[in-house]
Amino acid sequence: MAARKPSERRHASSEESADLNLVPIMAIMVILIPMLIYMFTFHTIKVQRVSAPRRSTETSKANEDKKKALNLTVIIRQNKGYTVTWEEEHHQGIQDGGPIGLWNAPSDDWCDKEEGYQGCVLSDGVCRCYDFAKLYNTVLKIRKDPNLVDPKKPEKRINISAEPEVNWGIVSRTIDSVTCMLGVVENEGDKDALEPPGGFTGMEHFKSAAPLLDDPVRLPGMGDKEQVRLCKPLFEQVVFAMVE
Amino acid sequence: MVDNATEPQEVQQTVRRKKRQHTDGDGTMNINSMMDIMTILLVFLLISVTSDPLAVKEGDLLKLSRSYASFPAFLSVPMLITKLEISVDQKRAVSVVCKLDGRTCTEQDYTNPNIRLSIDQMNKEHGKKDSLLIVPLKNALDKAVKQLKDDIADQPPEIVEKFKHNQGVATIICDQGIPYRMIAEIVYTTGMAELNDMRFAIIYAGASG
Repeated sequence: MAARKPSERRHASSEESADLNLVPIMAIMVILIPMLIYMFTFHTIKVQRVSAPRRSTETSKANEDKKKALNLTVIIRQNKGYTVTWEEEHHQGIQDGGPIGLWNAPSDDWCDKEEGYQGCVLSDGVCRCYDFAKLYNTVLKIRKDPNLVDPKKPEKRINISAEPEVNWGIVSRTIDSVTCMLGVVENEGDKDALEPPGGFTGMEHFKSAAPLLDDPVRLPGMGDKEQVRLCKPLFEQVVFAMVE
Repeated sequence: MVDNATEPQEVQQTVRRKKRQHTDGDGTMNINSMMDIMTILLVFLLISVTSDPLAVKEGDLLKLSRSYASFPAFLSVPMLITKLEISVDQKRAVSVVCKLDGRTCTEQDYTNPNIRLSIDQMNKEHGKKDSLLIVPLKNALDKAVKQLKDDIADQPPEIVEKFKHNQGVATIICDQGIPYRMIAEIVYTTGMAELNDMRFAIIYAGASG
């Protein structure tokens, strides 16, 4: 029996490796890839900024020299609505914007789990929503009042407080309504939203609200060519507080 | 003469037949290139799904809030709050107590809007119900902050620079149904762990609400 030539041996091994059956591996991949694509999120994740409450370390004399702070506070009441309070320089005590009650939705679609509007709750069989439109109009009026907010150096801070049972979805939508200037995109082809003159007429109008965007800016920590368009600020610094 | 005219046609047909035989081979398909594509896709998806803390899958236990906020998410300490537990940097820190009509929730109850979510008072400072400090969460956050600082030290200068601007930032991925009392406890605890700038992850909804 004659021995094989080295070249034949090389050929034989290459033929064996070509016979490797990849079909079962392909079958696994075909299952794995759709599964991973299903797990993959295609949403755009952004963030809402909130500051932790801070204690003032300034001396009382320094406080005397400073202008009295607006101390604008929005309190969210469980299934009742909002209370907006603030302090004025020439008035004693806390000013109250009056209660902003819940709005009765025209249909239960507003409370639908999947397609409904965040901030609407079904209680006793009636779909009712927190009135973000009225809240926005109230806060905007305060922001534009030169007696309350200095147009040259506007107050940025707003306190948000809620009763313990109020859920994050409602708090988050409330933050939206008080931190950004909002408008409406009139035509489908329009890029930017326009501020509605006289504010929002009601919740149905507010449902189509979109933020009024500022010029592009580069934020600290962003790359050299990265820029972002943030919304025009209303009261941009949100501080959480607890209702006793 | 006729034979001469048909000859090139026959030759062409023979060449075509031979070509077809060559490409068909023994009837098996060459799937090597397909395998390459699949492998690249698989690796990309695996890395994306496992490494990005903001790549969250929504379900009964976690549904993010929809918002107009357009502030981008940066590198920071990630915290995930579902109806079941609070995790820091993808590690479980403390479990959430769920009650419905006085009894512990079952799996089906998590879609019920009447459930009550809270943190067990044993996990709070001195075991007091009214305390805002969640002790296991504070410990987990302290550990995560230290870990992030150590990890960043070995990174290239541009990442170190990015981190410097986002020191003291916590990104909170929070379910819509979490009550404000729990949020306040989490915010207070996060503040105590030297993370004073809290950023709540939302899904950008634009005008769709």
